[in-house]
Amino acid sequence: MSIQFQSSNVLARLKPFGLSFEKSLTDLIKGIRQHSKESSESLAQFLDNAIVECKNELSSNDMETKAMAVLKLAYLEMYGFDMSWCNFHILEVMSSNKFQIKRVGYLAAIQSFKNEKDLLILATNQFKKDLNSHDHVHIGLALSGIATIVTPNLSKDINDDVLMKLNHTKPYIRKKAILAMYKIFLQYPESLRMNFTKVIEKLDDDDNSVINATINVISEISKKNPKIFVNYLPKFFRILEESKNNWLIIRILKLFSCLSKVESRMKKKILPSIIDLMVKTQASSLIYECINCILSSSMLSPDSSRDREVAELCVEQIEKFFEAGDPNLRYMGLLALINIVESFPVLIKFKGSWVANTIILCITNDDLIIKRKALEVYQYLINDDTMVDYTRVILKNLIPGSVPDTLKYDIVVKILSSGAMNNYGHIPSFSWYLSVLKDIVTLTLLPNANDILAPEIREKIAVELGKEFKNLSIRIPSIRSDILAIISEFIMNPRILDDCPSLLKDLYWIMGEYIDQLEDEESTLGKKIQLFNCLVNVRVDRVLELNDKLNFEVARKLVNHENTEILTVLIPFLVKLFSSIVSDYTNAYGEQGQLRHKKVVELAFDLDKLVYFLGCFENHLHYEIQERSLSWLEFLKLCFESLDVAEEVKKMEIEEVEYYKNIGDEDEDEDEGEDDEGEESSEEEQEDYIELSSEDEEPKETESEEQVDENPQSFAVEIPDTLDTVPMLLTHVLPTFFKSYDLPPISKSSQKSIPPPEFDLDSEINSPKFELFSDVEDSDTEEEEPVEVKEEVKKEERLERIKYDPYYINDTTSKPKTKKKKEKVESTEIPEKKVKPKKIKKEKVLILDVEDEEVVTAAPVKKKKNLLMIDSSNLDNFDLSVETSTEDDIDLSALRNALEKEKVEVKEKKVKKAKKKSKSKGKEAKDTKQDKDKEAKEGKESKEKENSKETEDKEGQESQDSKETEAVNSHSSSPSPGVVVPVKKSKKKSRAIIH
Amino acid sequence: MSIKFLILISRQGKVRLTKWYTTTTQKTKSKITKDLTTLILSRRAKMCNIVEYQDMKIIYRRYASLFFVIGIDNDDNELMGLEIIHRYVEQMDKAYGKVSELDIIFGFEKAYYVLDELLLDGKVQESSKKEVLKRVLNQDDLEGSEEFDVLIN
Repeated sequence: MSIQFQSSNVLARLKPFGLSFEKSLTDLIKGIRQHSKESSESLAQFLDNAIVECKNELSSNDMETKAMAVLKLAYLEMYGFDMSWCNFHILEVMSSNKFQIKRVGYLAAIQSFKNEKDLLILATNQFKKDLNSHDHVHIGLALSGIATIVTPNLSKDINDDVLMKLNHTKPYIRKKAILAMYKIFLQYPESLRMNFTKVIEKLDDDDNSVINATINVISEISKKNPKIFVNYLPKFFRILEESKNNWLIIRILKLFSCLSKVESRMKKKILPSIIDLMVKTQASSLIYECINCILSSSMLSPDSSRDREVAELCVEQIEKFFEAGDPNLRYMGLLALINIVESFPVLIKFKGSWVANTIILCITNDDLIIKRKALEVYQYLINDDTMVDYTRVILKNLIPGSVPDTLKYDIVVKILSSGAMNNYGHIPSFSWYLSVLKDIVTLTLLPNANDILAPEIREKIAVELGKEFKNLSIRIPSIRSDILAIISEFIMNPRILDDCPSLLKDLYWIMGEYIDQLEDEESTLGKKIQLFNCLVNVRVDRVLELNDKLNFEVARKLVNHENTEILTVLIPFLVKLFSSIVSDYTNAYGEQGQLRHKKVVELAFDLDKLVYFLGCFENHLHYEIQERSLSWLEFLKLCFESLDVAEEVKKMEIEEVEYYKNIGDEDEDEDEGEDDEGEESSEEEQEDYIELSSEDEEPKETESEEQVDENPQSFAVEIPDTLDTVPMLLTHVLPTFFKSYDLPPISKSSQKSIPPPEFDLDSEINSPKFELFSDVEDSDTEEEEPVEVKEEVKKEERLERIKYDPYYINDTTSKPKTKKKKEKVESTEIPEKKVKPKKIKKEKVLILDVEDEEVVTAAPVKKKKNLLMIDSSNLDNFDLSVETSTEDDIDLSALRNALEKEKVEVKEKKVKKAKKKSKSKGKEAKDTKQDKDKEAKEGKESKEKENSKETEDKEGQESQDSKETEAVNSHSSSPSPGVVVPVKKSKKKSRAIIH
Repeated sequence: MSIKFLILISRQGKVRLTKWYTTTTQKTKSKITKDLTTLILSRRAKMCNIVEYQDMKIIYRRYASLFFVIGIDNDDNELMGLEIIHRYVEQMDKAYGKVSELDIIFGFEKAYYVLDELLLDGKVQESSKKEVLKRVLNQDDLEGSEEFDVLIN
């Protein structure tokens, strides 16, 4: 009958307050819609008014008006308005006897109540009242409310009332009660300990939805603590077998995968029925859950052939997901595939590599979620055959505009890590790999200006690429010259300096370290000088006072660059580069260890440029840069003086400036026609100059003629064609700074085994020993070979000395590897797959694992606990076996004891004090030991007496004490620290008081 | 299976209903809402309805002009999540009688009541379709009859 009324408008009209009730809320909503169309200010104005209105309505005595105001506020809460200020009004509305109003109250309470003490004390009473109502609808409301609002205190108070509802006649209440109990368990784990059996009993309930809810609760608890349910496995299994409700079955499967973590024997029994379920069901969610359960409970071992068959069966099921063409099923199928592939990498090739193809298809999918997910298992797809094809596939994603920046970083990392897999074992040819790296740089770091990536992503990618270049150059000697060729391009590219300087940090290092292996088709030395000028020659542009269209843009940018890291690496690199130029000069033009005077002047000119460049950093704010530049400057200036050609260098400098001035003028004339070529033209100029300087190195006669043509006076007239000796400082001392030791790759594990240097800050630094050592080094640098040929005793001594020197890597670990590597280089004449000794790689992998573990163990400590959050962390380490104990009671009784004892104590103290006084008096009076002993005995006796008095006086109390200690004993055996600690404290307290 | 929150977002990005089953500060609430609105509205129809966000999975489904969005744990069954959303919509459809976005805007409390019967603190409390509806209608009747009583007396 009432349904008829419900549906008819007649009833609405009849509703005396319902009409206004609805109207008011509708007005609010309509108002919001109206005003949000106009402007945000008018909306804010309207909402402010609405809240003021609600406030007024709340203060009215009419319950219905109040309820309406609360409802409106609940609506506004969705818009982000806090409504906790009216919580007491909500409580009032909840307490109404009218269901309609009560319902509004609960609705608002669930949205708004949080952990407010005063409020919850009152709310507790309201909950209790409603829980014990005769009307089951009221009980249901209260249970819903409790499940959302419950706090630790509330859960203790309300525990018993909710517990009673577990046996309510209506299943509607029972199922709500069991779910509410779960929240109580979370807040008050003691309750689970006491009522565990009651929860299990609910599994035998007549009503399906109650069983459903119970399983839900159990599977939630078992996520935290599966142990306590292991004994009930048969029961769960029976429910699984009997039930036809997929929701329930899925939940039991979830429960099983939790239980399998503690009970490995269950596999045998449940696996067949899970497989059976999987094959028979039509529901994809259930199929997925079956696969998930099989895999996550690690029921399959990759070694067993039967298990492999099961895995294959799973893959066949997953195939159906993909056939359906539904994007969600595709996602789920992918998840399952990933799961399988991770435990059965062999299955990648299953069904004519259907698996691999599917995953690659997912990687090319437009949906970023699927793409990202599929990328996770990309490395499993890689082998010798697929490397090139698949790399090409994912490289396409880096093309500007195809995927978001963050994903690009992931893709770069994937490409790099898959390349490095198995110690670069799957790479067919390194020149291919290098071209891939080069593509990555051009696609991600140097795209067109409007496709440029976000700075932080660029930075991250640059760092990764830098590392990779470094790794390759250290570990694969045969491709160093190729790497250097690529790198030199990057180094001379001013855009890299602007957009991703972090890349250069590693590139500078590589370049400096392996500069001698740089090769160039035309002229290696020319290339080096080109590089050198490009980086160092700031003077020309400064003298010419150019501000744009610089001749040496990179050098100018470097001088003003903000990235201190790359500058610190740059400085030694430049010196290395110069050193290499010097040695090339002596090799190419040397005549019995001497050089033509002209060549010496050229060298000195280069050196002068370097000195000028480093001079720019003399007063750099960054300490490291300043230090490095200054220490090199001192040395280089010394070299320059030793060359003794300052005058000629001055002239060359003027010529050079003149030369660029001319070029600039010519260029300006040309540029009038073509303005937009600024950058290119400056590059051309560079090349012009480079050609010029590279021609320098070609056989003397032809080139000197050219020189005469360009600069008629300078070279022909003033520079005499004599042979000069290049100073030892340049030819011998300079290289020894860099070339005394080879740098072999050292695996992380052996690096770790190097003991950390022990710094002794107290002892004198300048000890005689140290002087001795520097002597040795000096002789070492000047005539290397003789020293090495000399006695090995000295070497050993030296080793001993540098053992704890932080600047030396322990020689003993690195030496043997160096040898191995050298052998390799000699023997393996560039086999396409140059692979380092496998040992190193294996070690590496091991270490990574160890680190991972550390991270995992450290994580829980870091995790901060949100006080507001209700989560299941209370159930961590929860153990049922601990007897039910009532913490609070013990605490209370302990407190009571303590209080009573304190009273006694006060009395006793007075007595003791009096005695102590007499004691000290006695000590003063009598000096002999005997007397002291007597005194002590007396003291003991008196203490005993005190004790006996105490026991006589407080017999009852003592019995309490003993009870307490019993309780303590039983607790101390329990593993749960949370319970033990407070009790122990109380024990200590009482002890302190007794003595 | 534990749902962390449910949000209804219109195609214009307006929030129509929110329900949080974990205690969350207003700030995080609005951040999540904002993030998800942009994230979900930007996805095309043929893409999958499961999104990874922070440390949870977001399941959404579009019905007419409304997106139903829920957040679940990473290890929960995503297809179940979709099913729950569908269940909720089905039941609202019956409770309102052909539900539309406007119905939910103006009768939002009813949407909450249906939800509260379907889920209790984020857990599915009733998987039977009939039962949920029955409860909601029962309670509505109760409201109605109370008022009827008032009228009679």
